[in-house]
Amino acid sequence: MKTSHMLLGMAAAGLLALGMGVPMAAAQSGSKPAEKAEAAKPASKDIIVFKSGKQVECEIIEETDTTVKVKVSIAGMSAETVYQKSEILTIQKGAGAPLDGSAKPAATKGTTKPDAKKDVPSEDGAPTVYVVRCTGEFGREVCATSISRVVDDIKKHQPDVMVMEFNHPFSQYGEETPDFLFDPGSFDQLEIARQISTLITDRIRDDAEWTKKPRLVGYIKKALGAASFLPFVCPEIYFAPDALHGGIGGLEHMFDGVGDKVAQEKQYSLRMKRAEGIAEKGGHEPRVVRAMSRIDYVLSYRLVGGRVEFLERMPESADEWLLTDDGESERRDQVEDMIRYKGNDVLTLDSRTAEQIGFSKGTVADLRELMYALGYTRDYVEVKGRSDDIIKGWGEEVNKGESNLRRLADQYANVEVRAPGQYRERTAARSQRKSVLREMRGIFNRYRESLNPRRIPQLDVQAIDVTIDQIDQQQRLDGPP
Amino acid sequence: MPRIRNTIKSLMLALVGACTLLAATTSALADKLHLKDGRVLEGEIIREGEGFVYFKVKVGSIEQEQFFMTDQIVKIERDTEAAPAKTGTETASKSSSSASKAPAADGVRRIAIMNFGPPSSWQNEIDTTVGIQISADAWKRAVPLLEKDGVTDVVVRINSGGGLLLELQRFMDVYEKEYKPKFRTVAWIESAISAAAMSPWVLEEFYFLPEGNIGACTGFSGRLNAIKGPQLEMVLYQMEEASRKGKKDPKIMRAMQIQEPLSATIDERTGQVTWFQDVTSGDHLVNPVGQVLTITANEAVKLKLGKAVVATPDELARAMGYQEYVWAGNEAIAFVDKNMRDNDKADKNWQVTAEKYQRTVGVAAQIQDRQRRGAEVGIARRHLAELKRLFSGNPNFALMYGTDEEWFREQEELLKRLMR
Repeated sequence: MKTSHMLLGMAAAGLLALGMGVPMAAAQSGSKPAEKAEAAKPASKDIIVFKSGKQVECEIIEETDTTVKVKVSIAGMSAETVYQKSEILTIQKGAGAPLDGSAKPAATKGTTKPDAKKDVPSEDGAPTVYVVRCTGEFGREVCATSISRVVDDIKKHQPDVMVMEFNHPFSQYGEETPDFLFDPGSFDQLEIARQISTLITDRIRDDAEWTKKPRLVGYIKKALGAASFLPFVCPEIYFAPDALHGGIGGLEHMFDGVGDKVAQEKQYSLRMKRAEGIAEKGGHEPRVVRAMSRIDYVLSYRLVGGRVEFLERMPESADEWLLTDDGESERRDQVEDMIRYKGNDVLTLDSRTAEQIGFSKGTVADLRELMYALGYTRDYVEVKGRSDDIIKGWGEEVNKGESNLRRLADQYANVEVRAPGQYRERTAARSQRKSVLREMRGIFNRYRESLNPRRIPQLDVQAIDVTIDQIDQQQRLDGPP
Repeated sequence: MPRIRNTIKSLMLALVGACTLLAATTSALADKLHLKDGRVLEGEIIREGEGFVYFKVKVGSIEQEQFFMTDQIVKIERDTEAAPAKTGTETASKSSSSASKAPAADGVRRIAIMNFGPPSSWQNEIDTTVGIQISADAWKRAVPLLEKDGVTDVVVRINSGGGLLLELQRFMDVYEKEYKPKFRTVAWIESAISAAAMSPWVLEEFYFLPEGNIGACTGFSGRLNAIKGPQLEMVLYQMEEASRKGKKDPKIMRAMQIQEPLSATIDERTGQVTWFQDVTSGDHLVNPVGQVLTITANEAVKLKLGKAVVATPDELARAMGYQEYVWAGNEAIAFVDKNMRDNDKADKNWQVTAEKYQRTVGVAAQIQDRQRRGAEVGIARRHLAELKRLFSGNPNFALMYGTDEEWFREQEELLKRLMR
C-alpha cells in the first residue's frame, strides 16, 4: 500500500507542476494575471458543452460518429474518458485554455481559472473585499464574541467579497502544541465552529441591513485541530501553497477506556455528523471531514467524466487514488509520516490533494492571486476594516482578564481585618471581599468562552454567588446583639 | 410578518387539497404522471404548486409520497371522475393525518415555527437538554395558544444535543395526541441528537436545515454507561412504536440506538426505499458494522427520511407546498421560548439556591437567640420558596437533584420547628 501510494503521489506531483505553474509564474513576475494570459496563445484545449448545461475543458483524442474520447485534467492529474455524442450540445475546438498551461490552468473544478461571470464591480467601479485574518487561537482569540464584532464591522463596509483567511496556531487555551500532535479533543470545540458558522452565514443572510450579501470565500493557510471545522462552511475554498488542513484524526479513540463501546460510538457518531453537517452546509463532500476524523475510514477517489468520484474502499485500479486507508497492521502510518502530515490513516489536506479532490478551487499565494482566481481580473479594493484589531484585541482582553482573575484571587485571600478588629473593621473587610468577588464574577461572565482553566483560579460564577451569600450571612450574624 | 399571496396558485392548491382529502381513504389512485424519463406513474396528486408536484404511488400494499419538479414531468392526466364518488365520511377519516389539516377560513395557512431547543443563532445563550430546558409540559400548554391564533401548521424546529429519557414518552404523547390531530406538524432539524431525535420521531414529515443531522440515540448514564437489559428493551420497543406512528421503518431508529448495521435500496422506478439491518443487502451503506447511526441532511433526503433540505422559513413553507401563508402563533412561540430560558435559569440557580438554603438552615439551628434565629429562618424560607418555584416550573429537577413534594413538606416542618 505504502509503495503504490507513494508512486501515485509522485506521479501526481509531477503532473501538478503543470497545473500550478501559471499562477506561481504570474506571482513571480509581478505582472498582472490578465496581462500574462494575453501574452502567448499556444494550442488550446477544446470545450465540450453538454445538453445538461455542464461544460468540460479537455483535449479531444478520438472522435467517432457516436462518441468522443477525451483527456481531462484536474489539478494536474489526467484521465481519459468517453462521452456519448447524444449527451453533447456543442464542441468548441480550441476554445479552451492553452494546452501547455502557459497562460491559465486547466478548466474544470480545482483550478485557479478566473470566473469572469462573477467579475462584479462595486458602485465606484472596483469590487471590494474584506479579509478577516483569523490568525489567533481558535476558541480563544477567534471565538463567537470576536467574530460577532468582526461581522458587525464588515457590515459597515458591505463588501462584495468576504474572505475568511484561516491561519491558526495549533494550540489550546493559549498554549501552543506541536503541529504533529493530533488532538481528537478538538471535536469538543466543534460547537464553537457551529456557533461561529451561523454568524458568517445565516446572520448575514437574514439581516436586511446587509444590502448586498458578500461572497464568502475561505482561504486556508493553516487550519489544524479545532480550527479545521470552520472553513468547511465557506462555499468557495482556496489553499495557500504550503497550507495544511486537518489534524483532527483519531475521533474513534476519543473515549477509549471510558464506559461501554456502544455509548462511545454514540459520542463519535454525533460529533462526526455535526462536523459533516458544517461541510454539507458549505456544499462540500462530507466524506472529506470523515476521512480527516476517523482512522478506520477508507476513502479513495477517481475521475469520472472530469469529475471526482469518491470510493469508500481501497483503490482497485491504476486510475484510482487512495486518500486514507484503515490504519490497520502494516497499513498503520509510520511516525515519520505522521508528524509531517504525510500519512494516510487520516486525511490532512495540503494544497495539492485539496485541489485534486475538488475541495479547493485553487492554490493561490496571496490576496491578489485569490481575487484573480475568483474572477476579479481587474482592480479591486481591499477594505481596511478593524478585524485584525478586534481579534487581536479580544485575545489581549482575555489575557488581561486571566491575569486580573489571578490578581483578584490573591487580593481576596489577603484581605485583612484592620485593627482594632471590631465590628466596623470586620464589616469593611467583608465588604472588600464581596467587591473583589463581584469583580471576578464580571470577568468570568465576560470572557468565559475563552478563559484557560489552567490559568485562572478554580472558581466559577455559581461558587462566587454562594461565597457572597456566605459573607452576607456572616455579616448578619456578626451584628450587635 | 412575511406573507405571500398568489390567488390563482392558492385556488389551485385549495382544489387539489380538497381532492386529496376526499381521495385519501379510497383505493382508487387514478391520476397519471408521465415523466420525462419514460415512466408513467399511476397514483394520486397530493399537492402541487409552482414548479412541483407531490404524488402518491402505490406499490404492492405500500403507498408512498414522491416529490417531482415540473420539469421532470411531460404530462399529468387527472382522474376527474373519481373524486365526486368519494364521501364526506372518508374526508373526515383523513383529517387525523398530519399532512391534511384544513386551511384557515381565508385559505391562508398559518404557520408557527416553534423552537425545540435554542437555535444556533441564540449563540449558546442557554443549554439544550431535553427534559431540563426543553419541556413537554410547555409544549402541551402552548396548544391552546396555537388554537386561539388559528394556527394550521406547526413546525418543530429542533436543535438539541439530547437529554432525559423520561421526557421521551411525554413528548411523543404530546405530539401524537395534542399536535397531530390539530395541526399539520412537521419537524425542521438543525441538530436532533438522542432524546431530541426520539421525541419528535412520531412526526411523519421531517425537513432539514443544510447543516442538519439526526440520530445517536443510545441511552446512557454517568461515564458512558449504556443502558442494558430490560431497560434497553423497553426503549427499543418504545421507539418501534414511535416509528410505526411516525411511518418510518423501525430499522432506522434501531441503528440509531444500538450498534446495528443498516443499508438501503432505493427503487429507481418508484423511489421507494427498502431498509435492511445489515450492510450487504442494500445498495447504499447507511450505518457500518459496529457504529451508531447519525444521519446528515442530504443523506436523509436521499433516503426519503427527510422531505427536503431548506435553509429559511420561506423555503420551508414552499417545500411544504404552500404559496400563501402567514407566520403565526407568536404567543405560543414566545411561551415555549420563555419556558426554555426560565428552565435554563432554574437549572443554573437550583444548586446555588439549594446550597444557600442548606447552609442557612444549618446556621439557624445553632442560634440560641430566638429573634436572630427567626431572621435566618426567614431567609431560609425565601430560599425554599425559590426552590419550590423552580420545582413547579420543571418537576424534572426533583429527579435530577433527589427532591420531591415530600422533601418540601419536611423542610417546611423543619422551619416551623426552628421558629418555636
